[in-house]
Amino acid sequence: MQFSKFLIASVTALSLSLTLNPAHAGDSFVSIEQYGADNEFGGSQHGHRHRLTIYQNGYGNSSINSQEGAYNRGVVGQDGYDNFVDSYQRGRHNIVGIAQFGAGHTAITTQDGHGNAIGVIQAGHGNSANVTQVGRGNVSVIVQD
Amino acid sequence: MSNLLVTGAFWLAPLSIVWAATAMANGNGPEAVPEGHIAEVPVCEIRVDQSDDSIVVEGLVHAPAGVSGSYRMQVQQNGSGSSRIFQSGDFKTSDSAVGSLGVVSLAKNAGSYIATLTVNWDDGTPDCVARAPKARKVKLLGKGSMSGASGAFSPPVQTDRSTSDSESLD
Repeated sequence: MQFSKFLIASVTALSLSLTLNPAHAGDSFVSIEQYGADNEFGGSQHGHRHRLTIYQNGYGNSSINSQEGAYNRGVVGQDGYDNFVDSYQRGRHNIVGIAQFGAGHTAITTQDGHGNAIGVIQAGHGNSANVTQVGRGNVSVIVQD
Repeated sequence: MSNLLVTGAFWLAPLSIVWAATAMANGNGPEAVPEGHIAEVPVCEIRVDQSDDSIVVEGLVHAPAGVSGSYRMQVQQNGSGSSRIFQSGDFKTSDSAVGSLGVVSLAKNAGSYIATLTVNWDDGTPDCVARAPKARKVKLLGKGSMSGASGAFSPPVQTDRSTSDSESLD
């Protein structure tokens, strides 16, 4: 139990740190896993070729992240129900992938730039995906099953 | 187990994107558009390619090189869930005379979809509005209503030029 509390506290602190102090370097990699209910993640990366991987298992979880620059990759996986993702990327040749399994999930993704790609997979019922891409040569793939 | 599924999905998403991007790249090839579609005046088009499992919607402009403008394409799909894709931006055609504005790929079994593309040209040409899937015209009493072939094999692409920009995409 102590370890789990420590883990939760660490993740929370890391999430807060990411929110307040966005990374400006390149080629950074952040991976976060959260289990349980009502977890929240907020992260921001500035620069090129960043990697962000979020996995949340449970319900009522939310992930809000942004990446500004080029050639960034953001991946969010959520398992459970009533989870929420809001992903924003600004720049060119960025990719975001969102996979949500369960019901009542919401995915909101926005990309501003050229040659960007969005992939959203939602398995279950009552899921919602909202994709906005500004620029040219953008690609979005939405799979709801 | 669920982690395995999610992990698999993580890999599937980029693969799907790559596949769609490839489809988009192929769409710029000379075989993508019949000769008749290369217009003297700029027109827009929504091209729909349907495979076994997916529907690929691509917004295209056909115009002489150097023509510029802006576009808005909205795709909505409703079924077990709902999805709304909005793509917009500026463009300028190159020498190929046909340009891809954006690509959207949907699951075929995820419900019905509707796509609308509106293009504004910088040279003052009236706005172009294209929609997909093509609305089928029903002839109740005409002789042509018995042919059947036109409806069954109606092309999935409709190009429509409009003189009004009153079409709301919001």
